[in-house]
Amino acid sequence: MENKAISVHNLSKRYRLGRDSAYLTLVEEMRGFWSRDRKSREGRGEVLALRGVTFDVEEGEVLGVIGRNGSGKSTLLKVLAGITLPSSGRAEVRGRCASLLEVGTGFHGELTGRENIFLNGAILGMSRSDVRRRFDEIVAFAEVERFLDTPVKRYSSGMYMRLAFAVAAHLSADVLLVDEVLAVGDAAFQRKCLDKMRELASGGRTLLFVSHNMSAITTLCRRALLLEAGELLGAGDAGEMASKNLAASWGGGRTVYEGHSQGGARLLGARALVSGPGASHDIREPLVLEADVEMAGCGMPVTCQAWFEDEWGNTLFSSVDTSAAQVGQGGPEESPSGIMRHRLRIPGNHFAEGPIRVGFDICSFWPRYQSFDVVDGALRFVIIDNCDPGSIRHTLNGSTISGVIRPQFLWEREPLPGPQP
Amino acid sequence: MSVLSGEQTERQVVPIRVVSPRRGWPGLGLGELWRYRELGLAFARRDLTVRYRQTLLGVSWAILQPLVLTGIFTFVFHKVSGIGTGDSTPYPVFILIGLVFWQLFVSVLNSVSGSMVGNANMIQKIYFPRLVLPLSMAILSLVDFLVALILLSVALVYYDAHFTLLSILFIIPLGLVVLASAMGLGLVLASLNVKFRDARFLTGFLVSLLLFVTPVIYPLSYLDAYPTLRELILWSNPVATVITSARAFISPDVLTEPFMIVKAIPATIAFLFVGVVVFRKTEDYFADMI
Repeated sequence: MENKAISVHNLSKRYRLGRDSAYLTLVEEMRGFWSRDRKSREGRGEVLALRGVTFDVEEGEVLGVIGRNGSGKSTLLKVLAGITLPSSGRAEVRGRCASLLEVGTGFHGELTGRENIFLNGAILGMSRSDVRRRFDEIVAFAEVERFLDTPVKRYSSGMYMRLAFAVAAHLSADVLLVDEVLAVGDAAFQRKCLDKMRELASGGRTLLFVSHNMSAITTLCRRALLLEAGELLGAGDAGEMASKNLAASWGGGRTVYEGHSQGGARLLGARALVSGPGASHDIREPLVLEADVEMAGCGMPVTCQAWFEDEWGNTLFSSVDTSAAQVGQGGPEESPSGIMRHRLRIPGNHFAEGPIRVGFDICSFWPRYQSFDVVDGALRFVIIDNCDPGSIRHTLNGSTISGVIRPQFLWEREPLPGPQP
Repeated sequence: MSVLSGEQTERQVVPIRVVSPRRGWPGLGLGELWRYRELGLAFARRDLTVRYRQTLLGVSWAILQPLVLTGIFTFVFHKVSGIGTGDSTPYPVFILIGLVFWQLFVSVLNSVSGSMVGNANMIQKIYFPRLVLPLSMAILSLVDFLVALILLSVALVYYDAHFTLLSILFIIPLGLVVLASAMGLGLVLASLNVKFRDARFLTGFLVSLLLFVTPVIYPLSYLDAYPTLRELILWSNPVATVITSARAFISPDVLTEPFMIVKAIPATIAFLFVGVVVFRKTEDYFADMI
C-alpha cells in the first residue's frame, strides 16, 4: 500500500438491465415479485460493467483510462468516487479524492457566475475559504471577468463550459478522477485545459484520466489502462494501449498490411517500422514506411502515394513517390513489370502525438491522374511523446503544443541594430 | 464506503477510503455529514437565492401567502361555516398558528421527498452524503417558518391575545418536532421515489389526507366527544399535537393539559428513526436506480 494512491482489487460492478432500473411503477414491481415464472425475471438480464478489475496507481502518477463506449471507464470512476458501490471486490483510495465526471454538474442557470463558482466549489468539495482564496485565479482562467454578475443562463455555451472547467481545475485534492472533460471550448481553450491538467499532475497529484482523445492521453499519461466490456484488457505504456485501443474505431493498430495480387497495379504489402511496443512510435525517431507494389504491365508510369490522417479523419498531408516518376522531356517512362518496393523515410519530430492512419494509393499521373488500387487505413499506429530528451516538448518544458503535425524547422535569429537605451 | 483508518505522515493524516460492497447497517454517518456541512449550506443558499430571483414581489411572498390564506380561511371557515376556536382565541390567530406549522410540515415533506429525484443529475455524477440534500431543504423550510413566526407575533400583538415572549420561544422547539416528523416521512418517500415514481403521487395524496386528521382549520376540542379518536390523533400525529399545544399556550384560557406535547415525542422519534434507517439502507444504490 506504500506510495499507492489508488489500489483496486478484483472490482466488479453489476447492473440490472432493462426497464426496471428506471420508471418502474409499484404495480409492475409487485407483479414481478409474485411472478412464479422466475426465468422471465432473470431473462431481463444483468450486465457486468466491470469484471474483476485489478490495478494500482502510484502516488503522483497520471494514469489514462481508455476503451470504447460502454467499456466501463465511467463506471470505474463512479465506483472509485463512491457514487455507486461495487458489487464485489475492493478498492482503496489514499488522500482527499475529488471527481469530475461531467463539467458543470450542479451549475444553476439562475445564479450568477460568482455565485456558481462558490456553489460548484462546494459541490466539488472545496470550502468557502478555499474558493475565496482561489477566486481570482478561477475567474482569470475562465476569462469571464466581465460577466461575473450575470446569471449563467445568459452565458454562451463556451463561457459556461469554461467557467465550469475553471472551478474544477482549481480543486485542491490529492486524487483527481476526471472523465472526458477536455472536449470543452475552442482549440485554444482545450490546449489551456490540457496544460492545466498537466500542471495539476506535475504538482504531485494523482490523476485518473478518462478520454477518447488519444492524443490527449498520450500527451498527459505515460501509463494507461485499456478496458473492453468491463474487463481490463491491458495496463501499460500509454502509446501501446492507445494503439491497441485503435480497435475501437479503426479495427486495431496495424504495422503490417498484406494485399493480394490480382493483376494490374496493386499494393501487395506495406509496413511501418515503428520504434515502440505494439503499434506505437516514438515521436523523436525517424519512421520508415515500405510499400510493395506489383506492376503487371499496365503500360503506364505507376507510382505510390501515401496519405496520413489523424484520429478525427483530418488528412495531415500526403506524399507521392516522385522518384518513380522520372520526369523527363517526353514524360516519365512506362513502369516495368515486377514488384517494386517504395520506401518513405519520415524524419523524427515530424508528427504530433496521437494515432496516425496511413492510406496508400497506387496510381499514375501520366497522361492524367488514374488510380489502380486504393487501400484506406492500410497502416495504423500511434505516435507517442514521453517528453524524453530530444523531443520538442521536452525542450519546451513539457508544454502542450497545438497543431496536427509538429515538424522541427530551422529558425534563425540575428540581433538588429537599433537605438541603444 | 468509509474512512477506516488514517496513516500518520509528516504533513497530516492521510485519509484512506475503502470502496467495497456494504454489508450490514452502514451507521448514521454523522461525522461525514459534519464534514460536508458547507455543502449543505451552499445548497440552502442556492435554493434561497434562486427562489426569489426574477420575481416581482421577492421575499414578500413568504409573508403574503400565510396572510392571504389566513384571510380566506377566516372568511370561509369562521364567518361562513361557523367553525369556532373552542375558546376565546380570535380565529385569525387560531388559524395562523395552525397554518404556520402545517406549512412547515408540508414544505418539508414535499421538498425532502423530491430531493433525490430533483437532483438526480448531481447524484449520478458527484459523491456526497445523500442526507446533505434533505437537510439543506429542511434549513430552507425553517427559514420560511421563522418568517411566518414574525407574522404570527404581529398578529398576536394586533389581536392583543394572551401573549408572552415565552410562548413564542416555546413555538420554536415545537417547530423542530414538526420538522423532525416531516423529515422522517419525507426520507421514506424520497427513498421510495428513487425507485418508484408513484411516491410523488403518494406524497400529494398523503398531504390532503393528513389535513383532515390534523386540527388546522378546526380545534381538536371538536373531537372531545370521541376521546379514543382524539388520543389516537394526539399520539400518532405529531403535527396535531404540536398545533394543539401551541394554541393552548397562546390561548387566554387556563392550560388544561400543559404536558400534552409529550404525546408527540414517541411518534416523532419513530418517524425519524424509520426515515433515517430506510434512507441509509437504500442510498448506496440511488445513483444506479434514479
